[in-house]
Amino acid sequence: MKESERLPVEDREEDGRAALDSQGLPAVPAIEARDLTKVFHDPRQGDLLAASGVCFSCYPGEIFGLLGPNGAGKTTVLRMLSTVLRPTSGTARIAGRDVLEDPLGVRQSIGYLSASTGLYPRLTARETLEYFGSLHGLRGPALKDRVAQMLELFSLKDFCDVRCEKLSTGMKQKVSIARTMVHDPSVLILDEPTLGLDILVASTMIRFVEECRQRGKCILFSTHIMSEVEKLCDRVAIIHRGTLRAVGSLPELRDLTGRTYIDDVFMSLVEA
Amino acid sequence: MLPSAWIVYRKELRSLGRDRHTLIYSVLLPVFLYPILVWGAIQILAYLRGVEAKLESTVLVLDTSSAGEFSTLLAGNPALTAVQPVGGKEPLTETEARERVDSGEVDAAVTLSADPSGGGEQKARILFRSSRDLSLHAKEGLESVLEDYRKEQLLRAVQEVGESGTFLEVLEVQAEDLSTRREVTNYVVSLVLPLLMVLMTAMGALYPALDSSVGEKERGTLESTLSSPTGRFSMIAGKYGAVVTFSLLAFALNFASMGFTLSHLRSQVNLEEMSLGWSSIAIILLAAFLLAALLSALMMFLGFLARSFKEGQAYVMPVYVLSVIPAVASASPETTLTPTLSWIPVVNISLLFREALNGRFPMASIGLTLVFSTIYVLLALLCAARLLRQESFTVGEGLPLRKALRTALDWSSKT
Repeated sequence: MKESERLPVEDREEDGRAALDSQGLPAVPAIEARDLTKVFHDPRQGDLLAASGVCFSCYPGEIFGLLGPNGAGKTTVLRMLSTVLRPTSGTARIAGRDVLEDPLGVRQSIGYLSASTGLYPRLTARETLEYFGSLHGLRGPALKDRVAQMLELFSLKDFCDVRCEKLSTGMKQKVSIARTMVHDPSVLILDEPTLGLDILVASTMIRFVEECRQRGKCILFSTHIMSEVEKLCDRVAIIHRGTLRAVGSLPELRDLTGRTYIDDVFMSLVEA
Repeated sequence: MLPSAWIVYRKELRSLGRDRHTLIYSVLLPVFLYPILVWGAIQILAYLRGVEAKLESTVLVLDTSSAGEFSTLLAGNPALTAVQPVGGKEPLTETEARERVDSGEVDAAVTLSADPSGGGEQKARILFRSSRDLSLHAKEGLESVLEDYRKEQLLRAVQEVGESGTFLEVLEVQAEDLSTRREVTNYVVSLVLPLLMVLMTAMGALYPALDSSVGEKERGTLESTLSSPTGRFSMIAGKYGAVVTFSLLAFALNFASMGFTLSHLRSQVNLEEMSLGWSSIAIILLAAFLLAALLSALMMFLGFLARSFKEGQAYVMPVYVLSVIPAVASASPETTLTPTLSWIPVVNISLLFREALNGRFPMASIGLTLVFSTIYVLLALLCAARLLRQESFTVGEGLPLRKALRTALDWSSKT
């Protein structure tokens, strides 16, 4: 049994709290990671274990945080879930589709924002949204309506015909998130979405993530900012050196570690 | 696959169409550079011809003959000025004459031995320096005057024995060119045009190929696109289509621009308006497409090999230069498209251009060129697709060149 599965919080989850929907019926997890392992081969340093036996489940209407220091393996896990990387072993199911067997189907269901995400500098915000909307199968009036909706939602209307290379960092990040959402995916995978943003844009982003939860979407996002976790996440997975150290809600993690403040909870789990 | 490839293709066209480098190399250069170069070359040639016509060289004549006929003939040549009268008061030695030519005081010197009427053979000797234009010019002028002098001497000798000398004209050579000016034009253009076409098509593909491969990696946009429901092959197909389009655009603009230039300047280069049959046009279009397809695939593959745009440029530039060598080699008038040459990339296509411009259609060789070029294109694209499947490429890190090449070319392993 994997380390993360030995934790009481994970066992409880498997027992059914989060696995039941509001009507008491069993809910299918929107994201289900099973023993996800990734080894990178480096001719000089040998094999690098970036993620090892990662198991967790996220449900519709839930914000699930992946918390860990730099280099902990957060991005690798998210890349495996979004089918950008192929797991060395283990697998995951997203919206009922297996990342190994049906990667295209998985990509249809998710909106993935990578930490290093770039925008096409010579396309405008509108063209960027239209491009990604088209790739997700939106056509004609449906595409136009959805793009207009996204521009409105992210207050991008005044800048929608400006090339992305001329937008500020905050505006670019808004375009990136809008691009992630343009096909209205049921699962959002966001890798450090507030990284490098000022407080105003970061707040907008956080508000947006909360709205997504209210609309029943499953949001998995990685961060190393404790306050975001405290404010947003229904449940958190602590990852360090490629392995999950604990999974649960904040009160559960506090109980588990006997610490009050999230920083202390985190340090206690990482140093354990 | 097709809808996704089409979406990627349209996006690439739009993005590349706004790229300054692409616009310069795929549109502006093909339109303006070569017409300007051709026009400039014509003007320079015309200027040089004018300068040459006005050239006047000074020659020193050491004439030991007494008749003075050579002096008269020399005086009749406007391009030469004799600086010492024939049979002057103080005749110089050959050593002194050599010194004067060396120092540049005179452009050339000629020594003429005794008159044949005095018995024996008369000899002429020209001293000149081939490293100086005016000296060469003087030497050519002196040779012409000496030839006239020789003929006069011969005629005089014949007349002295009582003959009229008409029998000396035993052979009159008349050459008649059966080629029309239009055929000559096609021939001349067929020697030059394939080389220019290879240059332009390669230049048109260069920046789009790098921008859509390593450029995407460098900007960090690849991960977003690959996390959308787009197959990797659709992505490559869309990108490749856009690169081929820009390469063909450069070809078409250059072709049109060259045609426009020649139609306006042909009187200055003594060329007729070119005429091409429909078959020739069809083969030229086929050749252009094959060339654009081949160079685009090769450059995209090299772009995918690179880890940065700068590295990509370093990989692609030698290929660009190397692609010119076979085109130059195939510019030899004796080289024609044969089945043996059909498998050599670039050579086969530039020869195909030439055959089409000359109105020749060796069907077997054309078919083989088509087959081999298609194979090369597919190989380059498959290698590029193998690289794109590499995870290190996907996340924007790339591989060292040796490992990347091994990955692309090792068909025994799965990536």
